[in-house]
Amino acid sequence: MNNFSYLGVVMTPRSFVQLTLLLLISIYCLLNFRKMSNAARLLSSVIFISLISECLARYMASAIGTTFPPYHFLIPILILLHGLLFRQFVYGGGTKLKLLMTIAISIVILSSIFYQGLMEFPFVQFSVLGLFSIVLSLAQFKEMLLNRSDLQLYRRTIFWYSAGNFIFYSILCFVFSIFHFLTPFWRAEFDWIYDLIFILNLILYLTYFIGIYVDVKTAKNGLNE
Amino acid sequence: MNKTESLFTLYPLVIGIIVISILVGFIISFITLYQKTQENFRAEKAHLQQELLKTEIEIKEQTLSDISRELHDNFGQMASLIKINLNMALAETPAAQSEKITESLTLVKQLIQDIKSLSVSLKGENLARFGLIEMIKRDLDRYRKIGDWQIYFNTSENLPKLEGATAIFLYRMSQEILNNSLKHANASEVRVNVTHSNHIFELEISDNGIGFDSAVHKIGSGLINLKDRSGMIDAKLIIESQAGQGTTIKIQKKV
Repeated sequence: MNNFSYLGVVMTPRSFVQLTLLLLISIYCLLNFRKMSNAARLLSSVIFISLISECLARYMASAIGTTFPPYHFLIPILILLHGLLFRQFVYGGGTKLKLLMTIAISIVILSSIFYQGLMEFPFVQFSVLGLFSIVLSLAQFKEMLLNRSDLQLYRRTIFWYSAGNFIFYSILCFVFSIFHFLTPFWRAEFDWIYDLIFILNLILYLTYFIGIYVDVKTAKNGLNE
Repeated sequence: MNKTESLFTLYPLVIGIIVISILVGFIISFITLYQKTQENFRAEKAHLQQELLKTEIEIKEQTLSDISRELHDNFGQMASLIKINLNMALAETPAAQSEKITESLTLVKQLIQDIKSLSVSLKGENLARFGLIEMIKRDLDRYRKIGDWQIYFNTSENLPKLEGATAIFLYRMSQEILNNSLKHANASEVRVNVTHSNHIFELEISDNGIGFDSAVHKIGSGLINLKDRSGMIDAKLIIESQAGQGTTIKIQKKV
């Protein structure tokens, strides 16, 4: 895939599409921020942070030739935001959630310091974030079944958020595990993995967007959860 | 690509397809389960709402019954005592000065009559004594007395005898509709038809009042009450109205 330069920043068509999507969603979030519930505001923060991190990654690509450093900072923030979102949706989590968040953030930070440094791709950190998100998504699915609502499933932000996270991080963890294992044998096939992760990212951001959109719509109709 | 490389390309693809299938399967199962849970939730909620409405109506009936007893035992008795006193005063008053007392006596007699009929109309238990048709007839007589309205009442032959909750609900609904027609819709003419054919009992009340455009106006609390009550006795409520052209309300109950 050919890279091109835009405002002095090295861009691939994939990152251009991804950044454009994130930017559009961020604009929508900013325009509707006051109408949103607290959960949707936190979800918007995930979008804002992802946009900033992707911009920094692109800048780093042109400045130092690698996109990896911002991801080391992004992952603990995402763990924190996903934990806070869980508290918003599930109204609790208490000690178990705090313990899980502390363990996950500690592993991620320690790994960035001692195992996979800032200039390396944070496989371990992404895997921890993935496992953390999958566990929370499953708990959120359980919550949806136990805490019944009048709202249809497709009108619930928690559903889009949980489904997006569940699919994205499950596939990501799977891809990372085989990617790690097969690297020595698989150099020729790398590109489709990047394509897959790119498509998964788009799906994830779109599910976040739908989640925020239904929140704004239901808030307008006075139907918020 | 040698044999080992081909195997390492094939395995992840197969496992990948399995993983994605599991994920998709999970989401589909979840959606199905959620829909089932939501159906149960809605059914439970509807049942709870019905129970709540039933309790509300029972309390209302009890309150009306208490008011009816109070009217009959207290106000009725008081009016009777006033009547006796006035009769005694009339006997002791010279004929030339008795005009005012005679006039008061007539008014008190009318008051006693009104208290009696209002008391009967409020007490749901009287339905068992007089029957639905007789109770509606009495209400219409009362309305004829207190206002300048043209009220017509028609019944078909062989009407079934409705009892229990159905009779109470239909009676209270007829009172609500008549009240709306005569007091809020500015009607000068009301027609009440009670018919029975093909196992359908129909109570139809139409007026020549201001009406309303049901497509434009939101359904009010009175009509919501009627709808809820119809639902509780499995009756069908039909409302036909247009602005300036009166209103016709039909309640159809399979018997």
